[in-house]
Amino acid sequence: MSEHHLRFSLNGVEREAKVPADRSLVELLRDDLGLTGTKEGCGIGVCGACSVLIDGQLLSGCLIPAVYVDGHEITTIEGLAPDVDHLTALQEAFIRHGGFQCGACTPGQIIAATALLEEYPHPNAVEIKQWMMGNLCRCTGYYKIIDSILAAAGTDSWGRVGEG
Amino acid sequence: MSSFDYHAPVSLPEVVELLQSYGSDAHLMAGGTLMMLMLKNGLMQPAHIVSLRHIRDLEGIRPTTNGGLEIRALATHRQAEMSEDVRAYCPALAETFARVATIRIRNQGTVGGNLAHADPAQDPPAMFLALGAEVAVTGPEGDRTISIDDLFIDYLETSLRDAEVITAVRLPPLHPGTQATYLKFVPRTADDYATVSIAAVLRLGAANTCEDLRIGLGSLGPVPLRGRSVEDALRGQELTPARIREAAALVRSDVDPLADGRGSVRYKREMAFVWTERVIQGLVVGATDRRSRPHESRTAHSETRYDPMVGEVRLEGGDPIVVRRQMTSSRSTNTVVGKRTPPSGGVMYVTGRAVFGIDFELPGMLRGKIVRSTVPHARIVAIDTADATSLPGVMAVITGRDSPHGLTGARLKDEPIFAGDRVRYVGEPVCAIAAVDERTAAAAAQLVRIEYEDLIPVFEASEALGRTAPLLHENLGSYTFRPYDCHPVPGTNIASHIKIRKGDVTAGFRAADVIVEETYRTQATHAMYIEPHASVAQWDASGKVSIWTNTQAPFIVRSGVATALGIPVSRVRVIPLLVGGGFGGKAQLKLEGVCALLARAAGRPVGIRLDRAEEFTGTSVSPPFTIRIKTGARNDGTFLACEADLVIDNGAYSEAVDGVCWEATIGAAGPYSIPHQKIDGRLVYTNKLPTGPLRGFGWPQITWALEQNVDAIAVRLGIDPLEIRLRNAFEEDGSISSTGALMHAVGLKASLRAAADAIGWSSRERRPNHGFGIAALTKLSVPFIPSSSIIKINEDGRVQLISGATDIGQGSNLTMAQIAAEEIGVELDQIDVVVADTDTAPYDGGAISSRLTFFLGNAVRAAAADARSQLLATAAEMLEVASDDLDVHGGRASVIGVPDRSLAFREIVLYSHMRGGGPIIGRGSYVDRDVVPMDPQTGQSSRAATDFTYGAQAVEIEVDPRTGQVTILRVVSAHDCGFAINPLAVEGQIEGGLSMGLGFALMEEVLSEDGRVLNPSMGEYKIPTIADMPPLTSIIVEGFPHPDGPFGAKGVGEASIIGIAAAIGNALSDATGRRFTELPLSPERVLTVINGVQLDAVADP
Repeated sequence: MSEHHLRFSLNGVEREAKVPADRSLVELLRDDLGLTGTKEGCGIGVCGACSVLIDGQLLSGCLIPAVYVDGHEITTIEGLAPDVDHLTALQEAFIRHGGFQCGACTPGQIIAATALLEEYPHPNAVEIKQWMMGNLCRCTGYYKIIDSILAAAGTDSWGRVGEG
Repeated sequence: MSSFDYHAPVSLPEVVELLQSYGSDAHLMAGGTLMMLMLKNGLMQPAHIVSLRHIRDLEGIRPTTNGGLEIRALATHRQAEMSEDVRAYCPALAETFARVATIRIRNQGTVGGNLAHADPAQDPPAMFLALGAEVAVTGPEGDRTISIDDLFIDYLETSLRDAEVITAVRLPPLHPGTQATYLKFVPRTADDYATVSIAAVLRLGAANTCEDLRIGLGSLGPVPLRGRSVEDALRGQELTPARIREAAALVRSDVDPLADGRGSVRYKREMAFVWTERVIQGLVVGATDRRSRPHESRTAHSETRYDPMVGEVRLEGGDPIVVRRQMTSSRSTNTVVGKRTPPSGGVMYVTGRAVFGIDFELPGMLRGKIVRSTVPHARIVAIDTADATSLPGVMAVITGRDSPHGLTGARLKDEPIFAGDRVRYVGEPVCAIAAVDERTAAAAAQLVRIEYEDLIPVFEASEALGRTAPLLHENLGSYTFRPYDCHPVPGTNIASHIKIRKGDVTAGFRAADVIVEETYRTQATHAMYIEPHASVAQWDASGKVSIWTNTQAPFIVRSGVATALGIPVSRVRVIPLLVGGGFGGKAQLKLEGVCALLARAAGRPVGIRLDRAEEFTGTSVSPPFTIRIKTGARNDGTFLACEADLVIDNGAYSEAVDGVCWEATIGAAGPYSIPHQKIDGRLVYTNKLPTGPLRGFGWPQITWALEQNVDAIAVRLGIDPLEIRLRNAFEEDGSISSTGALMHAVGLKASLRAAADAIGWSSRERRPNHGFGIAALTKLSVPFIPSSSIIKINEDGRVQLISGATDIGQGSNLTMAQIAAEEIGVELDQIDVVVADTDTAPYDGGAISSRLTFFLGNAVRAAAADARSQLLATAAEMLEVASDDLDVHGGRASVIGVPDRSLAFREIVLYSHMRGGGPIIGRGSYVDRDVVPMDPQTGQSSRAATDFTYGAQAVEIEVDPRTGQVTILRVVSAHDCGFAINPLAVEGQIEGGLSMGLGFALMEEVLSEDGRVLNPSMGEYKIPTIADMPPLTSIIVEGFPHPDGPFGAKGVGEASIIGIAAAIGNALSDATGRRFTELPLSPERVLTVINGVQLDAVADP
């Protein structure tokens, strides 16, 4: 097994790591770097619990070889807010609107929704459903996740600003 | 994963050179999605992986000079989906890319990698076939192009030669007037692989003449296929509806599908025909012109994803996604309970700081791996662990032979931690390994050799009941069990037989004007929490074991470990970690005993976490039911008699399903007053994965049967289904239950009326293939499981609420804090909730059976009252007044009417510490003191259980008569929860249970064959996604407070999973005139019922 020396930015901090070729990104994050906010739920890219942003793009930590992040910027759930007193609008909304119950899928949901609002700041409910389709939740029935995203975006179900 | 070297060349010649030098030991990787999957599941074991990631030359999408399009191999699906060039070339191609999996996969997966993988279930290949693409490749002999028609030669095989690399896909210019479409039929969930997919590119001439037609077919054979028979039959022809249908039927001979969880060969063949016809028809009439649909044109984003033909997202114009109502009868004076309250401890969850079971580690911890039985029923002849033991890094290997033999279970104790001399299901733990890391442990597990002597297995409960069936538990008669709700029958495979005998059922049927009898079946489902099981164990020098685990029920785990290991419970300390979803699936002993034994053998802490595949083979599923139910009624709709026979497939061990058997048997008569009843519930061992508790605990299954039988009677008598329910439903007070209890505070009729009103029951319209359904529901919380709580007032005046009950997402911590705050009279933010370990917490039965709000809520209220009274007694002493003269306001005890004579809690507590009675510690418990055990022969008792919930669910549906796909247009879920202590959390329970209920009704099924699970992954076992959720009206029905509940509250955690399948079944019956008896209501099953068994004779719409 070849070993690889990686340099990357993790939540704004330059990091280095040495990994075997078969390491996945989620293993690098959780087992090597101790960032356990990113979860592994299914291991096959279906559930979305391992959602991370690489150079701002939404990806599955369980399907990305760790060697792929060499030279790139990774954002995980731990890197969204500077500290617990300054949560992002999405993080606040997920708390206020019942957007999580057990919380296991929540880091992935919030990462995915962060990418959504970056690309579509005022989504309607259909757009939210389409974008978030790959983030499974077994607790909420999803309605309050939609509520949370709409609230963070300041839109109603039809994507109208300021009426939600 | 196998061991490999990773290479990242920066030019194509280098890539080719590497491929040449390593030959078949090397494999290319582009985006990595498919390769990572192949590597993880061992389908591919290359020694070298050559990444294309740094080949800049392979990026980009550009129009070609001849008006065609070139997509370079490393372009991602997402880039292709969003590309203006792709859209300008052919909007349907962009839409095809938009239909690939989910956005994360589209961001990673590449167009070239997708083609090279040659998976027939992928989306783009079918469209490339229809568009007549060419694939550009480079290799040792230079560049060449391959027609897409020649690329795919077998399952996962292409015609690429050794060391060749796909560099681009080239698409020819399209003639003006060419129309294209891509149809992906995904009836299970929006993120599923296609059941079938059809791409069509059509050029129409004058008078609808087909000048050219190319059809690509996905998921319909070992490779992506062309629909050549259809193309040939239509080319040059005028495209009339009749001719299109005739030609589309020919597609059946073009395809060669594989059966899987999405359908049989016959079904897929039929769907190929139906959708080919519809797609061509749609192209001809322009019905698929998405630009004409106003709600899709807002942004390119929504345009590309919404597909009304597939019904992927049904946001009807103007219909909100969710409406929430609360029907409250009176204004309360409460200030904390009853208020919508978000969790104060939410920050750790949204910032990734919450530590779940899978996140927990101890210093020096080893990783464990369980070696599981590969056969369903066998004697273990020998276990050879020598090779595993000698693998470097392995620190301990244990088997059933060197382990204690204590049996565990919730009621009937029948399950060992390790199989001793005999295995009873595929997946049963036989041996376990502790090693320095997971990979070493897994490698060692491969080296254990187990020799079996096969025994005759039995997989069907009905067969296991036969006289000649092999006995799974010969020692059943010597097992211990809880006689209150479990009655094993030694000498048989019956783990429990529960009986209800009431009135004279024969006389009841004799007096009936109408009798309806039917047999219903349900399937095995999985709780499918997002976080897998994980446990860690460590022994201390005194011989005590500490276990950190993501359990719903720490005290159940404690007693289970103690029993299994043969040690006192005080030698076991269970520390609950955060639970990433439980739903019943994390309520029983799973990994804890194995971890404890491994840790003892290794002398170091050992942790085990399951991966998702092991979740399907090593945990538990819900029990499949076969329910024969017979109901008799008078002409006016009054129910007279109910006879039911429940045969419940237990799997190899009982876990808590003996309780399921008890509850479902009690539930078979429903929330209806029926004078004559004879009900038998039998729980039967089979050589399958043990079944276990799962949200609903038997009530969704029994309700699926009985609530459809209620509709069947209504139809026979010509009585409205709502009316017949209202006529027989429990009254608010005074009805007698199936077990003979007098019922109180029943909000059933109010729930039925609320659900009916919200769905528009009385004004419902009649349309073909469209129906309405309603179902009543009830459930009880299991009795004789106490809860208790301690409330300390700390020296800073804050209130510390201690219990051993875990908050698994249902919000119990907050609910308990609200109850304590209300009772003591302080602000909510003055309460700190502590979920303590089993050494320090008072006993609690666990976060199961919708019980915490009622049971623990009562305990907390009592503890809070106790703490308050101690506090006021001390304050009275300090202020030299009587306790009765004091009240609590704003965290202070003050003399009533004299607000400036008051003391802060802090002052009172310090005084109490120094000069009063010591620390202020309130205690409270709730015990089912007045529950009376049922008579084992008749099931009668004046009070078999304490806490009942009621509700009603209604749906409006549409069914596609040619595909069997059921679309839920609207759902209403109305629930009498007595009093909603936190409406936000109650809504969350209703909405979450509903999604599980929809999964149970429509798609979820753990498939097995000869005791082996066939679909052990989240890719094949589908649960609803956000895009599958229909518009919902949820209604909290108040006004029927439980006389014994805290502030009148009843449990509501499981209610909304219970009635939804039956409501959908009734609506389907309403739409089709047929009765649907088996779950899940997969499109194929629905179609089969609509048409009889002959799929070939599908009726025209």
